[in-house]
Amino acid sequence: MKRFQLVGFLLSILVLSVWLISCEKMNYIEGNTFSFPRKLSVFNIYKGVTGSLIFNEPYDIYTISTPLFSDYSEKQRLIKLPNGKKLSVLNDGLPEFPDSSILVKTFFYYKDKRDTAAGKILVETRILILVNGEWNASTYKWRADQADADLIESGFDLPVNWINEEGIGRVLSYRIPSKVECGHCHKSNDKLIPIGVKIRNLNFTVSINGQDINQLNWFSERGLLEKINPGDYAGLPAWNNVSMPLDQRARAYLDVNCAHCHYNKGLAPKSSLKLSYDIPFAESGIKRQKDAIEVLMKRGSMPLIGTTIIDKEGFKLISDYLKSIQ
Amino acid sequence: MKIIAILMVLASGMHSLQAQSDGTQKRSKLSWGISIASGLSFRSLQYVDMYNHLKEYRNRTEQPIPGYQIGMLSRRSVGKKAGIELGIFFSAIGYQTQKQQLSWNSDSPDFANETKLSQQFQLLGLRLRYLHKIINKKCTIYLAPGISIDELLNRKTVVTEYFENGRNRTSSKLRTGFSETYLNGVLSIGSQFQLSSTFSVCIEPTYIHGFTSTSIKNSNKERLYLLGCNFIFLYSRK
Repeated sequence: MKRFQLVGFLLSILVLSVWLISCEKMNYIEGNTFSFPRKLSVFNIYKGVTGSLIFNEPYDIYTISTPLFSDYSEKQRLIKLPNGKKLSVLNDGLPEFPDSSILVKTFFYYKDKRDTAAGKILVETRILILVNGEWNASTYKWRADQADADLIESGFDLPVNWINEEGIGRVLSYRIPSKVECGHCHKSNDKLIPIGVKIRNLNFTVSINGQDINQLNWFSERGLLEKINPGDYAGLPAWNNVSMPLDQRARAYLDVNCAHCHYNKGLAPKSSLKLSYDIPFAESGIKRQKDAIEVLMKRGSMPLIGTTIIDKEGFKLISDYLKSIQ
Repeated sequence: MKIIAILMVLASGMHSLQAQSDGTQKRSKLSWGISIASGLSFRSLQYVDMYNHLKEYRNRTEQPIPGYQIGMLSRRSVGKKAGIELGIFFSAIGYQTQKQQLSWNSDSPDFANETKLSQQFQLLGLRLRYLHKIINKKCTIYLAPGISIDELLNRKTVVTEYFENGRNRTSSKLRTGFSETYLNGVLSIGSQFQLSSTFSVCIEPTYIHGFTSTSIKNSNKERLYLLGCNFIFLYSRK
């Protein structure tokens, strides 16, 4: 009996080990089908002065009304569609992209945010490319001389320092994500999808060449988008536009920073918190879990991934919003 | 869920070790103890050729960090020459960068001159070892190979900023994006000294070698290791 107990215990160790190791394989999106080049320059995105972020003609710049918080980094977003092809609008979420579409996002810091002419520190450029109906994702780490950027697939941590708008010198450990981490946020079941470039996040007025224009109309003028009436679609307010109602700004913030995990095809499909902007408040679970949301955000436990420091301004917005909920 | 499973297996293991005693010995062959190990931890990098430049950069800029492991264990003698040990351990191992110079667009005494980043993987797991007694006299010398299986609790990052007159530390934790389960090999050479009929102390130079890479689904492998000394305080009931 005693030997049986000991043998049973040793077997349970073996079973536990196999189970623990096999659990790891469940949640990760398989690798890219597209073979990314080793250097970013192969994409021929940028030209001119090193680190200037002046981009070449086939690429178009866009911006979104509420951006993802990424450790106070600045971002330049570019889109490139194949010749003659356009985005198709399905609803106020993601449009349909033609094959060979490329989305580019460069993360950088101003050396001194009080004086942006002092120059930039380029950190990484993330690429999403649609090949045979499948999105592929990777990222490139900019070299110290900013002349080019190199493919990174296993993640990288590096110190970044800059002077913020208040004149405070900030230092942090910036995390360049691994391929697996890309798949955590850009997840729709077992596929990769873009996140920020939703119609509702593009549907606002931008200033281009001194002219104010709705960005969706600008996309149409540039031949990127079929002609639509922006008024037919929702528009996310800018999270920091205090002229907009608090609840709309907070929901916009949660949509962009949280909903890519907190929806039924994301990293947390079983969570009762569904944070997409288009989910009615009564179905979102926010009221029932408002205390937990505040605690986890204040502690820095949420968002789970994508930041290494707490967004103080964003947390204040959400905290004020949660307190306002009766 | 995984931590609960580990604790359940630990409990069953402790019970089965306890059950091996037939209660007739004058001194119980079962001992209970607390283990504290400290030493230097670091990582080994195995990168594919196209990422050699990254590997060289990291080997140039990173260095070991103090690591430690603490836990509770149960040890059972099997005959005169052997023994089995089972324990639950918390480990903190990783690496850090060397101090790196910071350059700013303008000067200010309020800006840090240098910074250092440390990455500490915090793990909780079970350790199973076989003890082979080489010398079994007043002082017992033994060889103790074993394995451990650990769950990642967090990877803790500490940013240290160095100023003219001091330093500042901030930390953050991340778990997602790294391997969750780690299989490690453990090798120790131990000396056990009997302090009394019930208490003894062990000193063990120890090497813990990670077989599992911290990066998931990646051809670039990063494995952690700890080289240090283990101190175990044991109690055997009469």
